[in-house]
Amino acid sequence: MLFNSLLFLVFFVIVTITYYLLPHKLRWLWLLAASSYFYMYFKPVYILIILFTIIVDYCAGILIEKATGKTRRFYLILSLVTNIGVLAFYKYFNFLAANLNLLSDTFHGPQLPLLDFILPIGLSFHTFQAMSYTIEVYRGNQPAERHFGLYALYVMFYPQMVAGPIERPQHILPQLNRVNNFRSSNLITGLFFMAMGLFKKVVIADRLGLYVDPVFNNPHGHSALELLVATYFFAFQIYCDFSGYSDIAIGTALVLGIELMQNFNFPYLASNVSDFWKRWHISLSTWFRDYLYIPLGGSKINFRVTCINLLIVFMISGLWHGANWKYLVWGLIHGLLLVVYQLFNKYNIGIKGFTFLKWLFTFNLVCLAWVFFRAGTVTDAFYILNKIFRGNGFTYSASNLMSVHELWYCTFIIITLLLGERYLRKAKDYSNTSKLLLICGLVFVCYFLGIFNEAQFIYFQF
Amino acid sequence: MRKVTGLFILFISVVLLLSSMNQAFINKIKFEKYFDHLNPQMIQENALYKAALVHSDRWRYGDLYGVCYLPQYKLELEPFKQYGHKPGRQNTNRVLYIIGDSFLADKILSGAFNAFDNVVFLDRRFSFGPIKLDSTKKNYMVMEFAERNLNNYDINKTFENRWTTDNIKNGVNFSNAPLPGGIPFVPESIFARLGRIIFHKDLSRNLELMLFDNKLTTPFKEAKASLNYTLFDRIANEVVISSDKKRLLFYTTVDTNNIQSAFRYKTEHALDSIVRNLDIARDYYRAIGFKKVFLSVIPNAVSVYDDKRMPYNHLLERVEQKTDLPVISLYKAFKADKRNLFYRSDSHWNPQGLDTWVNEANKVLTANLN
Repeated sequence: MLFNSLLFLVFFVIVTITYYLLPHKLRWLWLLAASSYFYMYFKPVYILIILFTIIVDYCAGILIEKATGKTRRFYLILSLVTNIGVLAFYKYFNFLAANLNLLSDTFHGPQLPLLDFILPIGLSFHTFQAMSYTIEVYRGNQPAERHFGLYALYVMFYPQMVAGPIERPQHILPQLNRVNNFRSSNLITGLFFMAMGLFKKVVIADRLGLYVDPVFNNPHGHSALELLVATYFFAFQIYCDFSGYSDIAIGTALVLGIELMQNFNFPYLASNVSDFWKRWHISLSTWFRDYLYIPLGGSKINFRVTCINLLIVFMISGLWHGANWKYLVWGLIHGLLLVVYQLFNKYNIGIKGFTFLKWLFTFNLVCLAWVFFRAGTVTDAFYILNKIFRGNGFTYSASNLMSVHELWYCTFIIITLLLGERYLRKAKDYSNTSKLLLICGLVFVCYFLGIFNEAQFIYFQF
Repeated sequence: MRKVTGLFILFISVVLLLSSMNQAFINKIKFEKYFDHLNPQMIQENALYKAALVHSDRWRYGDLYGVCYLPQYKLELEPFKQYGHKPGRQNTNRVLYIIGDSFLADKILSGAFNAFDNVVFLDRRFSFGPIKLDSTKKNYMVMEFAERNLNNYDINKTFENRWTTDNIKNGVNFSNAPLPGGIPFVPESIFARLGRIIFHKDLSRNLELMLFDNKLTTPFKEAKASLNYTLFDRIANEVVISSDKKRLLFYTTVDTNNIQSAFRYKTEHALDSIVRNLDIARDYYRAIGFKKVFLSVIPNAVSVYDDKRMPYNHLLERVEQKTDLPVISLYKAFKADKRNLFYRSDSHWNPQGLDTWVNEANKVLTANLN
């Protein structure tokens, strides 16, 4: 079910009101049923995959808690292998098979069959959330959850199930367990976040998508200027799409009295790449930091290991997004940028001041990497960058996709977002009346300037 | 008070959700909202939505207006005339079958052709057939296509159930024979049915139909459409404005990325394929008892009124030249006619367009009866 659909609006109203009308002991059951419906609306049969991993991780949690020594480790590995196995099978099997087939073809070897199925929606998100549970139980930071329904709800809580934020059990399970009484401030703040997310999605992201998608789908048919504009626009399309989703998720959960973690903190205002990753998709970058980077040794061993760890983490992070070489290259670029940043730090090559230039430089580096993320293939990405940097064809003839004054409007709204989002976000502390007025204003703008073409959220595919 | 309000909103929401899952109910609303302007006599006086003042403007002012809601194209659709036989005419024992599309659907044509006692219309947009003929009559067939639908015409990809070659070879009495190619009916399981209902992919659209597809919301839709058109030159994807700004055009007939575009180059090979399929269709209809089969292709509005906006592919004329079927040719007649023959806010012809077709068809049919 899409957040930007009428069905979701009706679903949300029914789920929320019923939730507060029910006695506390039945609420988990209601939320679990609602979350199941929310997920099954995409493809009902895929609920079985989630159910399988839930059962495995639920049992693993209890067994890990009871066990000691190597047995404890064995249960953790069993749980991780199951989760990664499911993820690998559905997400990476075809990628691996296609590449092996290509290699085998060179030597006239046998071909592996490719599987024909649609990737379960949000698989990477809920698998990572499930893994963080067993790891935290193993580390002793989280007692194993005995209530099967509550644990299932932790994995399947509908606001964040398909595109995050990827939560930690210590943060969510106690909130699901406690009595959440209705509070009008939660309702209004939650609705405010939802309206803000919807605004980012339908007013900005989906309008930029009208230009970005056809240009990236046919880079050979566009000039350097058109590709450059598409690159910058994509940076804001993906930000507004994904942070818009996170805002709606945070708002939806808040209405139910549950606080989700912040997933974005003005990433395009970062002054270096390291700073960017502290602000972009925070729930995923902290997941990789806590469960991969630090266990690999982090920055504690020596500089060489730190660099290798960074490259490993970011390449895996790239592949987490999708089974395609382009995501791997995107991750590698960010890894390399962070290695360079570490080098600067090591040799104290710091530049004081020039904040604006640092910001501008960082933003452009991030945009350069986005080309690999968005292009159809790595070859396409190189073609696009080559065309942009050679600079031939700085003409605009894509008026059939977007008129020049619509381009200026998009630029204006992007600048407004960059300058104004901070103030908009502060509005959560305003009085309820002010927030209600802002909600009405945002909904009004969404209706008149929004694009309602039932576009999926970009991160659903991951 | 808060609880009562909550319960009231909950009740409304549940009713809405359950109603959106009831496809029979949705179809009833659709019919009453959309089609009432076409055949007013079909609407019952006590219709649910007539009483509730929530008729939709989606089709009332043209299908293209109903997609884009640009107020400058909100034009009343003139009603089609109902054709009747000339008084005193004698029975001819001839029946005319027309396999056609939305251009002729819902039109009352039974008396449009004096050379025929009756006209049977079969809508190619939906499943029909196999055709069973009354062998005591002389049966004629017109295959009518909108120009855009002639592209990539493939007899095997139509919704028509046809008699098998064996049936035809064995001289089966088509009127009594069992349906050919029947697939045994497999009852749907309760889970499959429940899944189909509660996870129906059109629930959002159904909700939109119930909540916002009514006259009360038209001013808001028009305001949004005007704003986006004025500021960004942007209108609904399904619609294109003609070069002279006088009419709306269906985007598939204009956009060269679309196979149906009048401006997409057509190779001779593609034309040969269309003609070959028309021949196969003609042979089939002749084999099951039709005396003669005619072809009639209705030009796109863009081909008549805006053919200079890009190089026109002349599909219609080229097919008509290549085929050896008798043709009810319209393109030249439409181009020469000074009157407006298409609605300006709809993808179809207006009563004058239909009238022109009826006249041209009468001429060709009468001249080719034997």
